[in-house]
This record gives sequence, structure tokens and C-alpha cells, in this order.
Amino acid sequence: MNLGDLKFVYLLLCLTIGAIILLPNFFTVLSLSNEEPFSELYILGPSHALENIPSNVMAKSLNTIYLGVNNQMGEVASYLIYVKIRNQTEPLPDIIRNSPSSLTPILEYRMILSDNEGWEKEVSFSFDNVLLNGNETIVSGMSIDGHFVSIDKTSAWNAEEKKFFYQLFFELWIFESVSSDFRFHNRFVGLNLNLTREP
Amino acid sequence: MQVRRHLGFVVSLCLLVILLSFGSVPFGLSVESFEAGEALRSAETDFASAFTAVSQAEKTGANVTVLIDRLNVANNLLSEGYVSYWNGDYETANSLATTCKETLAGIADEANQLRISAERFLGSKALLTAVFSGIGLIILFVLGFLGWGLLKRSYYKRLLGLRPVVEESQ
Repeated sequence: MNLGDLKFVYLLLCLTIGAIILLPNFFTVLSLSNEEPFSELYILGPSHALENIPSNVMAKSLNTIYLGVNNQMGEVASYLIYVKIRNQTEPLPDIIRNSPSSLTPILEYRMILSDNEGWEKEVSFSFDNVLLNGNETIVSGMSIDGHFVSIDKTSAWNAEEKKFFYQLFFELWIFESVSSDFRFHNRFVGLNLNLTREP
Repeated sequence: MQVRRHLGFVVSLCLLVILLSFGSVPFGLSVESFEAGEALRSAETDFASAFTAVSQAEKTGANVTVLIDRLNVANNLLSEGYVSYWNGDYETANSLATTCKETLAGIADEANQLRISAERFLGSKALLTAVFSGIGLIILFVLGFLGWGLLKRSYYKRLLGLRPVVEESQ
């Protein structure tokens, strides 16, 4: 190895050591996180699994599910879940347009979660005031999570699917610091329910 | 004549009281609904300020666990308040909104203090890192020069120490 080569190797070594010395300064300015931030919203059945999720429900019978949210946004987040109920003709949230359902909520849950933190709640519900009127059912009251709520939902008999269709769904909203308000987080989960006389 | 006038006055007074009391019922209810709505909106605004402050403090690295717990308590009160409001129980809604506001009181200030402390800590940490890096670079520079001098000297020493080897030609 001649002197020129030795000088080059020595300079490279010194530069590497210099870069290592300067590295902590870059870490105080930059945060190396290339993970895509997201939130999870889920429903589980009464056995805490993706089975036995209520579908055929009777009037006044108690049904249980687990509702959960996970924060993977990389920072603390404030969530709001709106609980809504619809029949077959009423609107669902529009995921493509990022717009929530125009239906009035019957209940809401709020939670603040740190990054990687989860929230889960057992939600019990029952259709209390149900009237069968010919080919349609009218639900005027239901209990959800210990609250009695007055609703007025009519569902016509669906001869094809043989059911009185109702859907209990949960919309996830997130607090946005820029607007200082909650906005629809473009996520929802729902339970397709068939109101029956027999289980 | 005077008795009749007195009687007339008493009757009109009674009528006035009855009318006022009847009139006050719907009026009182509408105010209560309005009040509850306003109280909930006000609590919502307080929540927004408190959460924004806590979120900013958390981003600077402050430990906001206790504040998040308090915010969650306020959140539950606000949820219950809205549910009561939707069910027409304006009194409960109003009361829950007031309790929520009380719970939120001071959270934004505490979060701002935590944020300032965290920012100061971050600033001093960055300064300390920069100072140590600077010292490190100076040491590297000095040692680099000294090292290069030694290396060069040993290289030449080794080069001069080499003896020519004469090989016999065939």
C-alpha cells in the first residue's frame, strides 16, 4: 500500500468516526418513523371471537358484542364512536366520499388513546318495543348499553332474504386539531340483524 | 262598591298569577333545552382546547398519562350528557356538561406547563448533544492529525528500513 492509499483509508476512517459522533444530532431533529398511521375499529362476538355475532334477534332478547378501537396513529388520539341504527332503505356511511351516515346517533362513546393503546367495551342491546304490523315491523324503543332509547324504525318484510332487516352500526370519528372538531375517520362496522319471532 | 273593586283586583291578580305560571312552563322547558345544548357545546369547546394542549404536550415528549385519564373522565361525562340530551333529559345533560367543564378546568394550563418543561428539556438535550458532538469532533480532528503524523512516520520508517534484495539472474 502506498502513502496515497494509506491517506485515503485513514481519511475515510476519520470521516466515519466523525459521522458517528454527529449521528445523535440528526436523531434529535429527525424522527425515523415510516409506518403508515391507522386506526382499527372492530366488533367481536360474545365469546370474544369472530363467531356467534348476533344476526337473528328476537324482541326483548339481550344480545352482546364487543366493540373495540386500536390507535396506531403514532400519537395520542381522541376518538368518538357514533352508534346508529338503520333499516334497509336508510343510508350507510359513504367510504368513497368519506362522509358519515346522515342518521341521528342513538348513543356515543368517546375515548382518548395513546399510541398503540386499545379500547374495548362490552355492548349489550335489545329491541324492546316491537310491533309486527302485517308485512312490516316497527321498532319504537331499544335498550343499548343500559340506556333506553326511543327510535322509530320500520322495516318491510324482505321476501327474498326472508327477514326484517335492521343494521346497528358504529361510526368512528377522530378529533382533528386543525379544525378543532371531530371528523368522520372513514371507518365503520355494523351488525346485520334479522328481527325474528323465533331464534 | 269598594268590596267589588277589591274583589275584582284579587281576581285579576289571581288570573295574572295563573297565566304567568302557565306561560312559564313551556318557556322554562325551552330555556332548559337551550341551556343544556349551550352547556354541552361549551363543554365541547373546553374539551377541544384541553385535548389540543395535551396532544401538543405529548408530541414534545411530556408525560401526559394523568391528564389523559382526566380527559377520559370528562369524555365519559360529555357522552352521557349528549345521550341524556338526545333523550330529552335536559336537566341531567346540563348537570353533566357542568361537571365535565369542572373536570376539564386547568387541564390545558397543566398541559401547556408540561409542554414548556418538555420543550426546555428537549432544547437543553439538543444543546448538550451538539456541545458533546463538537467536543468529539475537535478531539477527532486533533487526534486525527497526531495519528496521521505517527502513521506517516511509521510508514517512512518501514519504507527506509527495507533493504534491497538482490536476486541472482539466471
